Amino acid sequence: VFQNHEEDDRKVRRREKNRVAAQRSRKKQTQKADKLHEEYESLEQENTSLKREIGKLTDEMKHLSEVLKDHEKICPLLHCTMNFVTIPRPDALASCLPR
Amino acid sequence: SYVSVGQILPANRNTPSPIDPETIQVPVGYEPDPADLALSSIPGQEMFDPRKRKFSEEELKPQPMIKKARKVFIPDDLKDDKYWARRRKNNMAAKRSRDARRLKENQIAIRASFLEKENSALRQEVADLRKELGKCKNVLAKYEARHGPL
Repeated sequence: VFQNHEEDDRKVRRREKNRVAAQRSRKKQTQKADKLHEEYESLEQENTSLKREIGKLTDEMKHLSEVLKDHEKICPLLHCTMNFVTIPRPDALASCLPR
Repeated sequence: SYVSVGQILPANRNTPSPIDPETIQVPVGYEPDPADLALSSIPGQEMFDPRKRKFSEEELKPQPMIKKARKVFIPDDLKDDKYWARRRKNNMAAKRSRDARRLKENQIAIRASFLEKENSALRQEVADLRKELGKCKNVLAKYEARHGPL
C-alpha cells in the first residue's frame, strides 16, 4: 500500500512537471511568433516607405531631365549639345561651364 | 533574378500623380531554400511566393487563447464508438490547426527574409538616386550661377 502511494505521488509530480514544461514551451512559441510578426510588420512599412521615396526621387530625375532637354533646344551657347536618354548627364550641362 | 521594370509614367505630366509603391520594383537576388519553400506551400495549391504574398494586420494578430475544456476523466466502459468518433474528429481538427499555424509561420518567415533583401536593395537604389540627383543639381546650380536661370 505504501508503494502504491509512492507511485501515485511520482505520477502526480511527473504530470505537474510536464504541465509546467508544456506551458513554458507554448509560451516560448507564442513569443517567438509575436516577435516575428513585429519584425515582419516593420519590414513591410520600411519597404513601402522606401518605394515611395524611390518614386519621388525618380520623378524628380525625370522632371530635371525634361527641363534640361527643353533647355537644350533653346540654349544660346554653342557648346550645349546635350544628348540625353532618361538620366541627364551632368557633364553635358557642365560643358557649358568654363573648364 | 531580376524582377521587372520601373515606375509607370503618366501621359500628362502637368498634374503630379500620387506615387503607388506597388509599381516600384528593384532587382532582388533572392532564392529561398527549396526545403523551406516546400514547408510553406500546400501541395494542392500554388507554390508560395514570398514576393507577392503579403500578410495583413488581421493575419498577424496574436492568436486568441482558446479556453481549453477541463479534462474530465471518462471510465473505459463509457468509451463507446461515439466517443472514439468524437475523439478522432477532434484530433484531426487539432492536427489541421497545428499544421495551418506552422505553415503560416513559415510563410511569414520566408517573406520577412525576402523583404530584408529587398529593403537592402531599395536602400541602395535610394542612395544611388540621391547621389545622381545631387550631381545634376550641382551642375545646374553652377550653370545658373554663371548664365542665369534656365
